Amino acid sequence: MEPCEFGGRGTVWSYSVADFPPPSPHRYDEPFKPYAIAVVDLDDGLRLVGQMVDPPEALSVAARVELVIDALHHEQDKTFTTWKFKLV
Amino acid sequence: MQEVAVLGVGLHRFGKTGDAIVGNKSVTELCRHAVDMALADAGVAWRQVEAVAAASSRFSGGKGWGLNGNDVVEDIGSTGIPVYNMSAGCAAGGNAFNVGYSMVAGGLYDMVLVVGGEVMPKGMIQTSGIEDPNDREFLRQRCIGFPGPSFWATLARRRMHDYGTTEEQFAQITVKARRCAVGNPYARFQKEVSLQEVLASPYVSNPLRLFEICPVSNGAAAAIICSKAKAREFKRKPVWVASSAVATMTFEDSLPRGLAGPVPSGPSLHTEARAAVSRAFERAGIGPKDVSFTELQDNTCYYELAFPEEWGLCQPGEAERLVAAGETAPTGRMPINPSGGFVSFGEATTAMGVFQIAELTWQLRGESGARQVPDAKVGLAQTLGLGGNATAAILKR
Repeated sequence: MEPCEFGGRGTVWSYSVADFPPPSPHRYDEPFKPYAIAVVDLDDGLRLVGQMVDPPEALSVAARVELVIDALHHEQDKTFTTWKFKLV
Repeated sequence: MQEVAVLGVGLHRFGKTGDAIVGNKSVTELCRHAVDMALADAGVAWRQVEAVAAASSRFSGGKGWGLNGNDVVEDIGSTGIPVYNMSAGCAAGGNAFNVGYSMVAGGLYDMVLVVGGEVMPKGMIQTSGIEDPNDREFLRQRCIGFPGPSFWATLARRRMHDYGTTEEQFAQITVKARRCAVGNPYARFQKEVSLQEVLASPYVSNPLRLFEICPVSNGAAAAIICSKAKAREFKRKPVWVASSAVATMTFEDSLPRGLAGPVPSGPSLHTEARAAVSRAFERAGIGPKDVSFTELQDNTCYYELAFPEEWGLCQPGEAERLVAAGETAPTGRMPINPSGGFVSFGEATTAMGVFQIAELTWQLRGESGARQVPDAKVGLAQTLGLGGNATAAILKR
């Protein structure tokens, strides 16, 4: 195996919306706010899942997106971050 | 290989904890009902059963170890027979049937009980059972926030893009499913719903709505299977197992099960389900055109469109038209889930593979009443479970 670098841009293969608070082991901030999750084909050949920072109604299949770092949830004084996608 | 017969089947009607159907019955009580019914249906006494192939649950019974078959034997009678507890997520019932079938076909036993039962916790199924950073299902939930129903919604959304499928077309499948369940004494939901009611139900994961995703249910199912020679000793006319197959997903699968995978060169589909079904066809020497009806795992109505196409029962992109024309109803050319399916029963996870065997058996005997597929000769059953597990079985008259 060799290390492989992936660029941050890709195309939305499909997406969905978490309309209800999901059960554990999911984590989210209260009050729960529905969010979109995209399945993205990165230009370099990796299919990756991630939340969208944009609202669900802004999204469409085949939209161009890029990777960003954003907060997933907060616990006590800590911010837990993850990768997300943002519309280009 | 010996020919294998289904001699008797039994079900406990599906329901929800606390309702008038299952009340507070334990999984042991639900299984007892299903097993007693299957034994009586077959005309077999408990002492004649030589082994048990049971579905392992992580939600109920089994002493927390998935020893659900041992629960059944302790409850009905400790005759000392071997017990095999099969774990395959929601495919466990299908897996137990496959193991029971294989042991009879291979000549190890002549009479086997296959059983599965569940008392489910309320709400969305918590698919990942442990907080293990090596478990990609756990990582997908904890690090991304990608819940189970969104997996199905992602596939449904992609189909809308590929084939122009509308939300009304998804809703129409639920309307058909619930119509099938009217008069099915074992279904949890036995009332029709209108297209308007389905479309008025809230999104669980857009584009899929509450009435388009199966809830969890409590229930149990049992089947008595035996060798051809053994079947001759009983009055009950057997239904024959043409084949039973198990498969797991392959590398090119590319569905969003974990965090990441390679972009596929071909279509994105459930490779485990397609492999199990095509193996079942090959082993039976039966093709998609010979199938009278199918009971498939409709956790959501999306699968009633995608699976028949992926398995060659119809052409890609054709399913919406077949649904609209009534061809997937029991009286149509390609009946899908005449029982009413998971959408009408709810999912008693590990019981489902055995529930399908019961419905196939009744259909092939011509005992299915209002939901009867006319002149049903060959039935196909399929399950899908966490971990990339799938099973398929073909039964014939």
